[in-house]
Amino acid sequence: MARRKKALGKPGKDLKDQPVPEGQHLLEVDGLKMYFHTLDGVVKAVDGVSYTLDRGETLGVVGESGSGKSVTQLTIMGLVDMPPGKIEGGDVRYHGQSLLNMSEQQMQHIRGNDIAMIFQDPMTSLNPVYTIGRQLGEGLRLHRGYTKEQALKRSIELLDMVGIPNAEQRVKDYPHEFSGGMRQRVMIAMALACDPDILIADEPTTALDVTIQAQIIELMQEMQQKNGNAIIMITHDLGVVADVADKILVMYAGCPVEFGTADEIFYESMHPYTWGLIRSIPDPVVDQKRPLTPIQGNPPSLVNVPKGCSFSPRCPYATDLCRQEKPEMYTAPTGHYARCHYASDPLFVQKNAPANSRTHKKGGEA
Amino acid sequence: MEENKNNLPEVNAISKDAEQPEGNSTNRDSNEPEHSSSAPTRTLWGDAWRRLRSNKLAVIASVWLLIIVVIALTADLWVPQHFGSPTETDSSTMTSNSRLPPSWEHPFGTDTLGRDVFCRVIYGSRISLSVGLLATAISTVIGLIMGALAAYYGGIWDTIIMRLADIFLAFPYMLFVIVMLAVFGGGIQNVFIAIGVLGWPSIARVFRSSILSIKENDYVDAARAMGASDFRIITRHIFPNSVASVVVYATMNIGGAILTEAALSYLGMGVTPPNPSWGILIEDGQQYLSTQPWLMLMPGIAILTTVLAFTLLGDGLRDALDVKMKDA
Amino acid sequence: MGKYILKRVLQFIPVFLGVTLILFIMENVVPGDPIKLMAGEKKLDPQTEINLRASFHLIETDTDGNPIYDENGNTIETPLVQRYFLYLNGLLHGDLGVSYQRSGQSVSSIIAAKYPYTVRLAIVAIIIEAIVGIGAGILSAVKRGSFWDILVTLITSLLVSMPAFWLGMLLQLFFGIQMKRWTGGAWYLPISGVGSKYSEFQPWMYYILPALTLAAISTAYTARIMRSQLLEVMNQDYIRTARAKGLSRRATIYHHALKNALIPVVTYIGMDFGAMLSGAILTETVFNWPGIGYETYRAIQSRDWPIVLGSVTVIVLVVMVINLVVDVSYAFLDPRIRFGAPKDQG
Repeated sequence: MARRKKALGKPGKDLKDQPVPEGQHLLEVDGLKMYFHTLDGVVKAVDGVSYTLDRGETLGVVGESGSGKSVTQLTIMGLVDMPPGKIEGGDVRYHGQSLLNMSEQQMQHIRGNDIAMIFQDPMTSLNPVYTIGRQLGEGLRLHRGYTKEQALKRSIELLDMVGIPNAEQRVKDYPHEFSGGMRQRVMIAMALACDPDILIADEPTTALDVTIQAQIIELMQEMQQKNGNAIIMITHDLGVVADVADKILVMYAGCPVEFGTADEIFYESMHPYTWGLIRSIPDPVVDQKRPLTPIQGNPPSLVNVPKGCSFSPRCPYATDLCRQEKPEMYTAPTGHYARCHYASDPLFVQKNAPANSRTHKKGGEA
Repeated sequence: MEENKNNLPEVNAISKDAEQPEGNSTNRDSNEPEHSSSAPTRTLWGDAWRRLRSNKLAVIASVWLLIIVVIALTADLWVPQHFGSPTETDSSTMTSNSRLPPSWEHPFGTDTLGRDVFCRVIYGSRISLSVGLLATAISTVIGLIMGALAAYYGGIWDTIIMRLADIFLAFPYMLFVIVMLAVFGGGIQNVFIAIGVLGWPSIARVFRSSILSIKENDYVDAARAMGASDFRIITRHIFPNSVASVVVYATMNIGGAILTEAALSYLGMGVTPPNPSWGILIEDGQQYLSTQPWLMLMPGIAILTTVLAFTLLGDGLRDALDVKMKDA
Repeated sequence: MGKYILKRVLQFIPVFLGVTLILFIMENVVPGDPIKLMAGEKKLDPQTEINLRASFHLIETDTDGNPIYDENGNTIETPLVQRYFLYLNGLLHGDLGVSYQRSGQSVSSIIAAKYPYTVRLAIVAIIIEAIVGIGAGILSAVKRGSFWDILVTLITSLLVSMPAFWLGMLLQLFFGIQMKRWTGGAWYLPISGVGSKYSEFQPWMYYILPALTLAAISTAYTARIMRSQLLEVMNQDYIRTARAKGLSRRATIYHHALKNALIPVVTYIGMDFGAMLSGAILTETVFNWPGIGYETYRAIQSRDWPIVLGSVTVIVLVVMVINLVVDVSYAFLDPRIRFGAPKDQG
């Protein structure tokens, strides 16, 4: 194995160890725009995303494939190839510091150390020719300058922490000797190795069996309790975020369409797309046959975004205004926002919100 | 737009490159819904053709090949008048014309026997092209049959055929060809039979593994679940996809066959003098390396450009036919 | 992994038998009676001829080696099958027969004298191939689309499209002949034969051009394979994971991508070594290198079949063994084969 470089930073100087400046959030994304300049045209992958995240919170980012939910977080991490990608505007502030202005070296120190990310497919996310122990220890040796022995010891602790039995033996095994669920646990361990204060999980359970899904989510929550880190959970499955998220960001076609607390999103949502998502959750109680209610149509191509509101082709309530003009953001006093021409109209919301929405019952209070 | 003959669900999916620039996850294809777009219906071959056309190198290569083929076919019409015969010698001018450097009259100079080298190179192209194409045709046909049998019947047939391929492949290629020709004698016919017969194992292997991996694909199951018959599955789904890899391989093989023929002629085991195979021309020129290097250089450059053209064309075809490619 | 090795070794056996069978068949399909070929123009008296036939096992003999006669006083031809087993037997004992043309010399001794030259040349060539090929492949993959990548792609495309022997001649022309002219005889390389104490150059200098020729085309393939493997690996998810952990681009390529990408490349180089050991007839002929390839070629010209068959046999066996070794070493390199399936569920 090659000699390890000196650790990039020293503990104590890490951003994550510093207190969040007054009035700032742990992580603040402010109108982030990132477009891809491809041969087929400009792809507006991230088109004005804004949200905030504080210590210990869980943010759920929900959207269909192609909505830009993953690309946004990858942009924050600086993992998007900058040609063809390009930041077109906005900012990302972590502990008050702009991540977009940081050098690659600085970002390398932040990745894995201050902000960690795990990905969708545990089967392919681990290098098949290195042992789990070596991969777990890599971050520790890189960011904290651990020696091989120290890293090994800590790796065993980590495996134990995520519930892998017989950790001392298994640390010497290769990834293909672990099952899918186990690998995802290892991924979580790897991500938490350096005690980051934000964990970004990109569809961590999509590739797993339903029973394992629950275990993984539980594990993440347990870790959050223990370590106090914030979680950004990216998923297309509203059911996954229902239990765990404090805040939810709904994305469509590269734009955020609604953002609010979980409570607000589920029971007081203001955007037709969110309603469509809520309605499309199958009812577990089935005493009579009922057709499922999906959202009609397909997501638009990000190269040819529809004129006007990007959701208008599929929105059952779309009007000419919707088709002509892009809606502004309507922000309620609580910070709950929705990007719809009619979100500010309580009657509209009350009339069309899903059956379980409180707006129905409250009769007009949005 | 031409009728959509090959309704291969995987293949018809619109290029994802534009929408999924985060590209690393391999699961993405299965999560993708069809994106609404106004693109015309696309088939595998239509797509491939378009991509090929935009690949400049491949286009240049094809044009060059076309030129060579045309020259080779029409040689009799215009070459002998200006440059003399490729094989016969004129004893009266033999010594005076021997080994002249390149000039307007003789663009590539003349050889020891006074023959115009340019003329011989052109006639040599006939031999090389015919051997290349015929030998590859033979090995492709045998390879396709064997590969299909092995993949389709599986079991004991698969084992037998693959063992046979292993045996053939255990022999170092050049050595085997040479020994075969030593045993059965030289001459152009034996040359392309030898090359052809020894070339089938790699094509069979490629075809077989292509079929097997396609058989595993879900869309074959889907077709079967829709009630498609075995025949339909083979012709409409399996064959078009597998044939793509064979086409690429075969194109590259043509280049290889040409090189092998040149080597054989160089060693004196292939085409016999006075036939102007490029290999023989090089061998002729070897003795005069220090004094008249063009005798050796010109035929070599001819081989180089021809084989290069086939290689580039093959590369282009592979890029054009590989639907899932991410411009690697 | 033991199972994997065992499987491979078991597969080796039928292929070995098949190969020897084909070789044997070829020997007997050779037109012309071997004894008459040996005799050439000379007329042999019948007894000598019979004795010769007996010594070559072409006719039945008793345990003392004396020919057996049937009731008509004719010699009996050994059945083909029996001769095949005699041949196999001889193989396993290292007996490849006796040369037709060089009276008395055993084929094994001829091969033993010449093979070392081929082996040495192959070793030099394979080292060049490994270093230059892997290096160029990495360079062109890492700096994809840049000037270097285009340069490497161009050169490799040219190299795989030219005949090896022609490349050898080009090198001879340039480094041997032209360099000599341009530097007035001061600096140039030898282009023929292999050196000894008495030759004009240091012996090692004689290796340069032939090794380059032998290596050139394989190096081009190696570079291409390395490039495509590395590019493929760099698109894998675990590379993204490594970057997300904070590794620099460089570190991910050299510590994560390379190890994965090298496995097929090393396998290819191993197999190529086998191919080089198969005599490199063309290179040896161009450079008058006294190796087994050249020897085989001369034997073909002089119709000395035992040498031809003997050397082909040896070469094929060597290649097969090397391929087996490479196959097995693949198991060591790739942990997925070394250790089996998942040890748990969930």
